[in-house]
Amino acid sequence: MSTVELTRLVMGLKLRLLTSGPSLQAALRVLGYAAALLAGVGGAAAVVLRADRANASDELMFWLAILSIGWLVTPLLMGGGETTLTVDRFSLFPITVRQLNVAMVGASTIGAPVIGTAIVLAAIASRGTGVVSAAILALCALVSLTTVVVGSRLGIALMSAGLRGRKARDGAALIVAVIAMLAGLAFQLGFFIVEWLTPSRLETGRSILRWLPVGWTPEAAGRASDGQVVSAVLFLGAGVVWLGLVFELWRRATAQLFTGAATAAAVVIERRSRIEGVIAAIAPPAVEASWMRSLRQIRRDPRELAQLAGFMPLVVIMALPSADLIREGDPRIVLASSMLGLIVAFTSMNMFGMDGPSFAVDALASADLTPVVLGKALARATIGIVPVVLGAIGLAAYTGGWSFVVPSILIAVSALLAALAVSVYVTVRYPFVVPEKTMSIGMQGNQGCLPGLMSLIGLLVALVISAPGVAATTAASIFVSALLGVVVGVVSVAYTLWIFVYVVRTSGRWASLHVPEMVEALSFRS
Amino acid sequence: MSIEWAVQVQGLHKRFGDKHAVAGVDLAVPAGTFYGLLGPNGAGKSTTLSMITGLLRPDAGSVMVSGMDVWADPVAVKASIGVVPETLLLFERLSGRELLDYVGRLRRLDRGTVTERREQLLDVLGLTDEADKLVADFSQGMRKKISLAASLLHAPRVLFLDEPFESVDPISVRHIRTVLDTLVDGGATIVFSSHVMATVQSLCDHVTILDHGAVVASGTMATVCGDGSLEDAFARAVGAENLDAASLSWLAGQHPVAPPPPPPSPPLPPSDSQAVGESDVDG
Repeated sequence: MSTVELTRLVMGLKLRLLTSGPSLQAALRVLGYAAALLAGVGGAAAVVLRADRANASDELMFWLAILSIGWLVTPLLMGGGETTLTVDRFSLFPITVRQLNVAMVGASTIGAPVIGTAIVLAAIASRGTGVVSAAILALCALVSLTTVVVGSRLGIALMSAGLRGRKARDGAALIVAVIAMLAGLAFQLGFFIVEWLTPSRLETGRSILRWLPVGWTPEAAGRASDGQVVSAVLFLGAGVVWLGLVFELWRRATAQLFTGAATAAAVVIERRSRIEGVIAAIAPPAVEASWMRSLRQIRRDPRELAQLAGFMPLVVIMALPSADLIREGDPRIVLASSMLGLIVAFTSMNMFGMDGPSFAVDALASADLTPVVLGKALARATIGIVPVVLGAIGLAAYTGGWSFVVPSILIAVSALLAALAVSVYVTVRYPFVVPEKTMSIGMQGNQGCLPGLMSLIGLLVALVISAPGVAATTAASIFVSALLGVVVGVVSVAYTLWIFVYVVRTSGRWASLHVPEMVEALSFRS
Repeated sequence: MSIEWAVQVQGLHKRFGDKHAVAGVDLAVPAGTFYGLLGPNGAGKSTTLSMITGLLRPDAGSVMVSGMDVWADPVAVKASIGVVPETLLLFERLSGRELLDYVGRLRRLDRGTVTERREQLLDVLGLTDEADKLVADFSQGMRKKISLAASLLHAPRVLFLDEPFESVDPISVRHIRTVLDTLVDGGATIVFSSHVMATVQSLCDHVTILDHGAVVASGTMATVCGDGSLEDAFARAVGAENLDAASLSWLAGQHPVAPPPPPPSPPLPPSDSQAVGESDVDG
């Protein structure tokens, strides 16, 4: 088979992958690609319309660099057709690595993101002040486009099988997930970020980015648009070297995958966890089993860690108003440590989600699912309460507010019990599967948007249930005395504990009698 | 003497959209037997087993396991059965040992018993050296074996196995057969589906053949097979006795192979006989 034939075949395959599949998935993809095209057109319009501004070249350089970085990460986040076209799927066919490389680059040009990028780059190329600078800008656009295309393929190669060691792959997945979460947060705060990017900050950003490889070609473009031809050529040369390096890394990764040289390293678990003995001493066997397994799952599964990490910025943002109290050394700030437990409430509404179809192991092994549900909730409570205790002790040591330590822990326990009670109900009634191998939004469970909606409602209900106890304990601690705070806190914990026990019992019984429905909800849509 | 039934299934139906996956299956599995469930791909074996084990709700029909109704009293039934499903859905981020510990403790076995049985099963199934690896790093055969170990930990009264020997090496197959024989000798019942006819024929006392969601043959091995092999009986039952290979004629004669040349004669040591022979040829 000739290289041209293979390229045509692989490009056709990519097109088919993008246009086929379940209707909802295809619809989401169409939306994603339409958004990419619109972003490209919008970016091009911005480049052209803002050409007259004094710091236009700073803007051009900065956004071009951001575009390049985004391109390196996007395939890892989007999944779909790109991650399906992996090298190892071609390794049995009678073709060479070189042919495959050409075909893969060809396939990368299929899709709206590349077209959108090309539109932006064409607009950038139009920013030349003369024939030479326009030619350099056109070259910059070409090098940028090639770099992002090859870079994205390198990312896919590394993700699909280059990172065969599970720890490395899980680590990479965690990093990608956290970037995705932060990107999501940044997107929502986009308006403030644009406002924050004053000309001087743009200039500072450019001065940093120009020393990084991803900034070399964008810097060349920035200089060419200012008419600095010589230095633009130098930076463009550096950009070409960077492109060569990325290409070589990709070529080697491809060759390794194609020839099966990439090896897998298995993770060996030898040590027994220290906390296991403590849990075994206080919990019945079935609860202990579920409690320990859930703790291991949270520790070892990057999706769990990504969830926790992803909500950290939100907790930090919520805690920011307390910054002044910390600075002043106000002892009441110790009570704010109870907020650290909130993170558990955010991540507990779908406790079977990471298990997915493996829920069948629980369903087959445990005649009664109540201990499984309880163990899962207790694992979340363990994760939630540890930072609260550490935070309270740390802040008490800093401010001297030791009397507030117990009330803050009681507030956290009360709120956690309320949140976990609601979580258990939502988890059992509206579970949905979280994909194991991709962060792609296209791969979803069987219940549409209902579980997400119920999770949101669950958070609100948890807030309503816990609010009286939390407010009363906080008020008693601040306005009367820490001792009264403890008394009110104990009552508050008793109130939410009663709710928690009731919900766990009824939900466990419901789950035991509705295994088929839960198995169905935790299966991938066929 | 009345027969004690381990599993009784009556009028089991399941539809997936337009497809009638299981269309009125009746089964009666005597206690203490090795019972084979056969059928071509898509015949409804796994769907039937899922409904018998309580993982899939039937549209109609009843299932009794050890005299208890699976759908009226699922909690009691699950305590007495073990299951190795066809699609091995295990907790990927537990090690093999941790997984067995988890399942054993979930079944409320005490820690000492779990540890003892765990190590024995790992040893018999040849998994001791790999047991501290994450299940995610297990091969398909190892996953099958660890799943089997998990289903055996509580010594179930009825064990359901969906393709238990698929991807498992021959030595492990021998070991697994020994384990299963021991279980049946102890009075337990094993219901298993498989495509490997020789294994089914050598292991099972009774067999049922499903096709298109319905029972097409059922009974003791001797009744179903008659004078021939189980494979023949199976092909007869599902109507696939003769394959029309004419449409694949392009596969024939594509790579003609020349007959191998005769092996060269080994040089013979000089002797009287050789001398005589050479003399004969020359002559």
